[in-house]
Amino acid sequence: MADFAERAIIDSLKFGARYADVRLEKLTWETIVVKDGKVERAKSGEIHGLGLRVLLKTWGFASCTHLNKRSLRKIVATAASMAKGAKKTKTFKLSKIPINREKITTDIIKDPLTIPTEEKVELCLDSDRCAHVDKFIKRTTTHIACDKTQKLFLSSEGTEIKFLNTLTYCETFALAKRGVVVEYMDEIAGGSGGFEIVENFNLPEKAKNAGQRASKLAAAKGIPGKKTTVVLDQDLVALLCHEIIGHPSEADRVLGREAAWAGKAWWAGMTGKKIGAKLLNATDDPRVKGSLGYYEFDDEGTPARRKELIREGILKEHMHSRETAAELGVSPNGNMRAQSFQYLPLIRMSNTFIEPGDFSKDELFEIKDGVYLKGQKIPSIDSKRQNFQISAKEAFLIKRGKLTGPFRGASIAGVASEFFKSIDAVGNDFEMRPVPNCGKGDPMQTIGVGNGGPHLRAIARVLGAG
Amino acid sequence: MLSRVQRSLELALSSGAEEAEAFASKNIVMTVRIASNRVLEVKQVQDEGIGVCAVIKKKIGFSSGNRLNEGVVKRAFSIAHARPPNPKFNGFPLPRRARKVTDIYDRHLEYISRSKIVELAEDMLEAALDFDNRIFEVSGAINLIVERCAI
Repeated sequence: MADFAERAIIDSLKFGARYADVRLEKLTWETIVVKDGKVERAKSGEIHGLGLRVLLKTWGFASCTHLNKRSLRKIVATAASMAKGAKKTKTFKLSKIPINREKITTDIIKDPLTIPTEEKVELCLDSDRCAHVDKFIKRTTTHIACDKTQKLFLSSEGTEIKFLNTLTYCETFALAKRGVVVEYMDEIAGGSGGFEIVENFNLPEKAKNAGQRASKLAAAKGIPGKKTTVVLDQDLVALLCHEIIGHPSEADRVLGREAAWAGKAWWAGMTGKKIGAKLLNATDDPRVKGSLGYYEFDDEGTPARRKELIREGILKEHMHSRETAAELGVSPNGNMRAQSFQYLPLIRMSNTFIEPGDFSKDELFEIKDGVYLKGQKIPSIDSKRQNFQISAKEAFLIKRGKLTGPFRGASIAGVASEFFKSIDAVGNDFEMRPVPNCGKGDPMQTIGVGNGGPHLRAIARVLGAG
Repeated sequence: MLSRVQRSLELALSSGAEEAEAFASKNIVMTVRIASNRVLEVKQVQDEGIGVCAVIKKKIGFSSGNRLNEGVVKRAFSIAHARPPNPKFNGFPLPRRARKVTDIYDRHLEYISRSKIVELAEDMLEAALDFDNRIFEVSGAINLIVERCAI
């Protein structure tokens, strides 16, 4: 099939393309979802096809799932005609990248697609039973998903990347209801790797834990609201990092190109300026092995590298495509990704996280008064990613190092710039969390990323529950 | 497309399914994106697939792929065998002729050319910029989705 990919490039150049690249992919997957003790969904699938991106005046893109000469001729003509069709456009440059020819295969111990489906179904059913710890548990879900992608990337510049990646993901969820109070807990694991991810996670134990915590939380009192010192756990920091560091670091948002869709970035034009406390260091790194956002080359063939987004509170670098890097006069850093061959790549985060600091968890609680917030729930962020409100699963009051709780219904709200400046302690207990469903684009593309960080302490408004 | 669906159904039934359902779809999504007062990208996503649902002793298995082969049916069987039976499953709806629904969309859109869509996007951009001098930045998109399916 590689000859189809080569043919697409050669034919695109004949149409006058100044650049072309092609992604030939085969994706195989299986998903099991057990809900309330019953198999809600069990399905598998396999798709393959080719996506062609052509640059003439602007970008033209077409994809097909039939790999034959006729389809190939058709998508080359379609992509090329789209790329030269617009009058109201302007030409742009692509930053140079080294020409690479590489083959990358992620390490797996147990191929998840060779594990019998019966075994996965049984594990989900068993875990789901474990989540039902008492009569207050009203809804449970357990989910195992795995997919394998074989990808060939070719460009008219000569880059050739073969990537075989296996992703495995599992999740368990329990919802408890006591009177009118409804609370839930979930536990997830996932990344680039095999079925060992599921086995090491111990789904039944995690499901039981989720059930116990959800039930206990539904009996808890609501937390009182106030502006105070907050300590956030790694799970909440992961979501905060995703929403107010990862997304505004995407250069297409910084340049205003996502204004009508994903939004803009409040720190546009502030590279090199202080935007947070000296303790704040944030990074995006696709090369974290075993993570959900792992890759060595992006979907433009740019070598992936670690990026210092924020260093000692100074805004340093954004995530780029070759086009945005050329526009802003910086080197491309490998953040163009597409959900599959069917989509045009976009600037996406990979593994975006806050770097660990020197504080132990106990040291973070050494304050007179504050609130400890654990677990991520729902984010609500403005389009520039400056004003945020994120709900936490559970909260504890801190009084001179002692915790009382749990309390339910807590959210934190703040302005990103003020919040970043108020960080006065960063923990040394770093954790990464898989995020399987980060969405962006038109048509919408969903991809997996990793987000994380350590416990951290700052000032924010805690919104309470009655 | 109907013949592919029919073949999938026959393959599932001849492989031992007591009941089966097959579904095929073909979508073309064309998008023209405007950002920073220019046409940023023009793209077409084509998606074609077939899904087979096979029932064996009230156990239901589903699998899909973008080409009809025995693999799709085999995977549907493998999923069905792995699931517990669903005692509430009373069978698929009986075959019946689909009702024809008309006048729910402009049929011209189905056959519109790529260059015409780009032209429409450019007209849209120009109209927004020309509205008055307070307008200095325009973003937007045209999406056209043509979907065909057969069950």
